[in-house]
Amino acid sequence: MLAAVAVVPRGAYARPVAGAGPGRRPTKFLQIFVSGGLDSLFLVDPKSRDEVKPRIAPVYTAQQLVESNGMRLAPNCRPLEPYLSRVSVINGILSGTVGHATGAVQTLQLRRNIRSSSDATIATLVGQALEPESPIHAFCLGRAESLWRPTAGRVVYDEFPSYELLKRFTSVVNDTHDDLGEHVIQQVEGLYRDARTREAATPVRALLQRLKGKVVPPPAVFDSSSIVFSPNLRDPSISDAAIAAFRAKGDRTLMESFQWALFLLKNNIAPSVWMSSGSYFNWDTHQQNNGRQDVNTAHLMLGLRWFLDQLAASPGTGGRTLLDEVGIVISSEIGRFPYLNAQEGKDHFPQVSAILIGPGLRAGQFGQTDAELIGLPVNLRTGRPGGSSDTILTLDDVGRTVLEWVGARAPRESGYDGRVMDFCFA
Amino acid sequence: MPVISLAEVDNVLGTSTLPPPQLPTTEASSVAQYRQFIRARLAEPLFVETLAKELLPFVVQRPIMPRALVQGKTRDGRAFYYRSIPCPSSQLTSVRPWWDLTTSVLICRDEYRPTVLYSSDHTTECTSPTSPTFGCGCGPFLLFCARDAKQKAVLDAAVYEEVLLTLKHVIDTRRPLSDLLTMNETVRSGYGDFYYARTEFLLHGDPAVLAIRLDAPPTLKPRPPQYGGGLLSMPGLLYADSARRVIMMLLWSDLLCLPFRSVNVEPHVLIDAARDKPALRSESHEELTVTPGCQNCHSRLEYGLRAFAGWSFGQIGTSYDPKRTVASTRFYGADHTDLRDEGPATPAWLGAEFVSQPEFAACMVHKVGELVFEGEPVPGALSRYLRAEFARTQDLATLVEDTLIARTFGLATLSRGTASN
Repeated sequence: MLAAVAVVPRGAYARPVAGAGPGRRPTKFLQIFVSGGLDSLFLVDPKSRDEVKPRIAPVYTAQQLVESNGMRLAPNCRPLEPYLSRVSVINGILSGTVGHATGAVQTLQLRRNIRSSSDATIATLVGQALEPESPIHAFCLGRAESLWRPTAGRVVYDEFPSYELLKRFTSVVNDTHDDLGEHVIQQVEGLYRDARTREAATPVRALLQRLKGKVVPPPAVFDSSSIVFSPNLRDPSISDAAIAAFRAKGDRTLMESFQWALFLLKNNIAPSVWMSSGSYFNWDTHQQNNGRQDVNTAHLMLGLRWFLDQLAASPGTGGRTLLDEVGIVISSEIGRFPYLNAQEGKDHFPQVSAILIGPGLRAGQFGQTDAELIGLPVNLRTGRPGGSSDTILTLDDVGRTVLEWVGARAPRESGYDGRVMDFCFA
Repeated sequence: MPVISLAEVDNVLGTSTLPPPQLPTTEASSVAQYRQFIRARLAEPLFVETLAKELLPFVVQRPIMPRALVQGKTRDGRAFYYRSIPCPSSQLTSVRPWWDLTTSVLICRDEYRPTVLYSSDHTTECTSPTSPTFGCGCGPFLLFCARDAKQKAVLDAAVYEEVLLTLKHVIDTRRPLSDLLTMNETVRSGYGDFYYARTEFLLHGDPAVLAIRLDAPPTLKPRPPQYGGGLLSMPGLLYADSARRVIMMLLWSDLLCLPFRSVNVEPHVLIDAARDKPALRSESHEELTVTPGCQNCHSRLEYGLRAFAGWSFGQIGTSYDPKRTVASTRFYGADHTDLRDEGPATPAWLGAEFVSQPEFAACMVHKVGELVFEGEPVPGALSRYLRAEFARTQDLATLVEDTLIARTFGLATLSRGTASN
């Protein structure tokens, strides 16, 4: 039920211009938290029958896979095809936990060595690095299970998703008055407090200034079902019942988060955004894993495609589009156990995949898993098995690499002591 | 002069929608006036709700999810219910529903299933949102279903209400906060009684226990003897998640501020342990308390779960079977190297252990400090003072009051002898 807005600089980071990392860096950032546990077989680590042990499913034929830029992806990734030159996939990342809550805190911070669940999230740290003076470093969109309340330095809790709060802000700013008089500010501060938020007035005023004149997007209406289940995309294994369930469930939460993320980034309200993929129950597939993960991943990819299309159509700076400016990280707090349980579900697994999208990346699929989906050691220079210094990739490496990607200064001082995965960078 | 106004105090306490304070002056400035105002506000349900979300966030995390029935057209002059799809008349069966045992209703046979209380492989109760696929129905007397969405909402609310009102009782009566985790009795309504009655029925099979006055207002009343440990055995916790280790983890995290950290659960270790055990998740895994990479968390989780061995956890309902209980357990603090105590495996003992740990007082003081100072750093001297006082008294109302006064007027105000008494 809680959502958070991280607003306070804590030792602002200056952006370095040289050093390790990519040639071009994102200037905006989105973290998508697939809350509940993504089954990588359905997305970025597909396998054929002869690549995995018996009883591990799903498996694909060569014809079903999406192959591009040296990547081999599951059919549900097909909507991303136009953008695969900007995508870097990392498989076999050791997260080291099979607990949702532990994993969620780890994912929020993108590291394993959690010192406190109250420490800044990666979204906040990235926001601080990208725009130190921004009054709002990171927005949290969508409901985070209160188990996993996102925390980031001084935290603002509210009763509903932040986009509801934003709607109220923008309503006051846009509808009530022509200018931001003291009266409006007081009203909004009141709203903020009514929502049991806990922040000083200054960032609220700064936020209002940034929101002034912005058009609030209408409620998202995005019927992806017709696309998901179009003849050329539909996997025959998806049952009619699963399709009916998908349509009945709708995709409002996910699409609304994508829509608000776009609004925030496009209008420079905050440099960094965190969003949830939707209900944790949808993704925590201890029962009927294959049907549910199939629908969920298809849904997520279609939402992502919509978001990337919008970025590509939105002007950025220097004649570029927002697509050249936004860095995206997608991951789950846990993976799914390779074998089905007694309820045709999959339990937890201490290993995840990550998808990075954005400028400065080397397109490709890195990390590798074996016949039981266990991550193999890889060479830190190439990201692939083979070499004298092979090592298992960890979540700490992902966090450190993301901070490197956005140009954060001295990540180690913030406790990010993983290794930089240079192979991700162009 | 006070550094925060009474209106700001209201914001902190979540009571800003209440009418303005009735004080001698509209601009209160003395410690005594602030104390008077704060004490009045601490008696408000809105404040208790604010505090509960700060101190006990796990109890507000999940819906209970009894399934709501849909009432179809009356058949043969009797109410007819179904869950998803109406069935032909030939498949209807007559049942006395728990919400009115003096009458009978019609329900589709496949949605009744009074004998199916577990999933088909007997590994979990009928707990999952997808449980219809396991063959679970509404159960005897339709105990696992609500009559309609409205009744489901009332049932859900009753669980949360029990936690809030019991916390409010502890605050109002100045009982030590430790009682919240050790007492048997709770404050609950008739709908709150329903959950206990259902468990008693499943235990003893006597339908008489289901004759509850559902519209009874909330009062402080005892529970069956197995329900020790106050909050620990309230439905709000027992029903919070069918993944019982999640609940255990939250206890350490939220009551002691001791987070669980992954050390290194290796994929191959897990594969070797579970490859051929499809029911692994629902089983006890005391071997993990000594397994490297697992033991730092599971020493707390598995021994903590021993206190609840008699219960089955679940989001729709739990049952209690004394034959499943075990004799003894242990209490670990930060990790597997930190054994604090050994004792009887009951919720009451576990609750007493939690509140006797030094981390409990420190954690509560920390959370109240976060609430009152709105995320700003709490002065170290004040924290030390409050920790010492709260460890001695466990008086939650005084803790909040003193923290607010110290923020408003400074620590010296407390140490000069004007602390609450």
